[in-house]
Amino acid sequence: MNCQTFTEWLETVAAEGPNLELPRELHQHQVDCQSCRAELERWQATWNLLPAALAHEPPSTDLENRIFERLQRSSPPARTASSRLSSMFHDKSKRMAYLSYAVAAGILFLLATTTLWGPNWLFPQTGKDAQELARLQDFADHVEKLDQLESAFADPQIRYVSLTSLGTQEQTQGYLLYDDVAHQGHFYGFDLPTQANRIVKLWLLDRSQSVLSSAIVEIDSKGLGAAIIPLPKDLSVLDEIVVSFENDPGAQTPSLRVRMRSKVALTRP
Amino acid sequence: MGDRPEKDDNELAAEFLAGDLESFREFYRRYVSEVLAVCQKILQNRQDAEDVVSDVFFELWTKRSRFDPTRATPKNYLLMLTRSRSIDRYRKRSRANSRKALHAIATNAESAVAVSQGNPAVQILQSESQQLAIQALEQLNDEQRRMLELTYFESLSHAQIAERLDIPLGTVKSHIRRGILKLRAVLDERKVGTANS
Repeated sequence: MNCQTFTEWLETVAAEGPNLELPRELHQHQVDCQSCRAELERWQATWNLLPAALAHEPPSTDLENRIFERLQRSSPPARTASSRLSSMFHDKSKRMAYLSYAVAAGILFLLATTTLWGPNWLFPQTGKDAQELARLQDFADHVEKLDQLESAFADPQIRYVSLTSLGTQEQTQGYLLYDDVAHQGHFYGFDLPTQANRIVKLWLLDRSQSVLSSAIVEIDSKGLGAAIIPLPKDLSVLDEIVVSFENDPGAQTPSLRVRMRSKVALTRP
Repeated sequence: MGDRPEKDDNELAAEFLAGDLESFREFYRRYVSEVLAVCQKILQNRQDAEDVVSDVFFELWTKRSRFDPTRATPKNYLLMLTRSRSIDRYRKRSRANSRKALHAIATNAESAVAVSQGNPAVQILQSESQQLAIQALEQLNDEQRRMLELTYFESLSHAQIAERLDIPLGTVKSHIRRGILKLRAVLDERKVGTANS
């Protein structure tokens, strides 16, 4: 990764909208490179000229009181495991120590679960999972499926994986909840294409890119999509989850127009 | 006391991320008008807009550990949250109230800039950065401004804008690209001007 690649990417996507979701390697580059970070902030500031030009009317006089009374009523904020973990990881000096604890705890957890319940641990819980959980809760708010998702998370036998758009449509995103009791995956996606002629398919692939199963994603008029897909009983064969645009609903393999893709994080001890 | 230098956004954010409510209040006062303006632009309803302002600052405080300073400046993060929550609220409301408010935004010929310029009470409140923004938007033609506003305030993709306005996708892309480059040029000129002065 270098500055040229970063700026070329920025110039390509800067016109797409204000929320420039950086691919992982580009994000890491701008963390390390001050000039590229300044360039990214410059594009964000360019988009933010639009709200800045709006007529600024003063808020009603009691708005500040209402907001801060609400904050005080809620404080101290109920800190979840995910927020505690997240704040730990903001503190660089403590990060390594926490990571060591987390790795040790993770190994113990894996040993315990493998010993007690067998290989029923598809996605080991880590700090990253906790952050993903927070993001998933946001997603659940968005599609008003919080009850279903919360009950899914309350079940230790259900795991999930998130899928992020490979393109530059910032909000195209999806989650596959994995139910290893019923051997079914529940996919939810949002901001998917709503055109009637656009077919979106979900695919599960093994390591050789062979298709294990597929399902058509049903999409409503608001771009919210859902699908239930059969999962293999032997979870270890599952390697990748793909969402693609297709012309033919009977397609047997994903087309080249892949929209979302995620490697399944299998780490069998 | 009056000589105390004003803290920049990053300093304020570092303090409120550590739990300092007074710093959060200062950050709130700095941006509440802009946040309210975005909410009102999207929701076209003062009461709903104030509700979302309340929700945005509540979320920013109670879920402050989610803010990652390596991904956005505090202001950009706040505006991103504002835009996102306003659009969420709009979509939720529109499920009950049909899409007429959104069409009102899309077909409303009265631009934000015109409102801003026509109201003396508002002019008093215009900060230097707001004047720069207005000056920048004046560089755009009507199509460019409308398409940029649809992108920003309604979170529409280029394809959705093309469908909405019934024009070719390529036309949308070129209008938006030229528009954003013009805005960028104004910012860059300003940067050069500041550096030279």
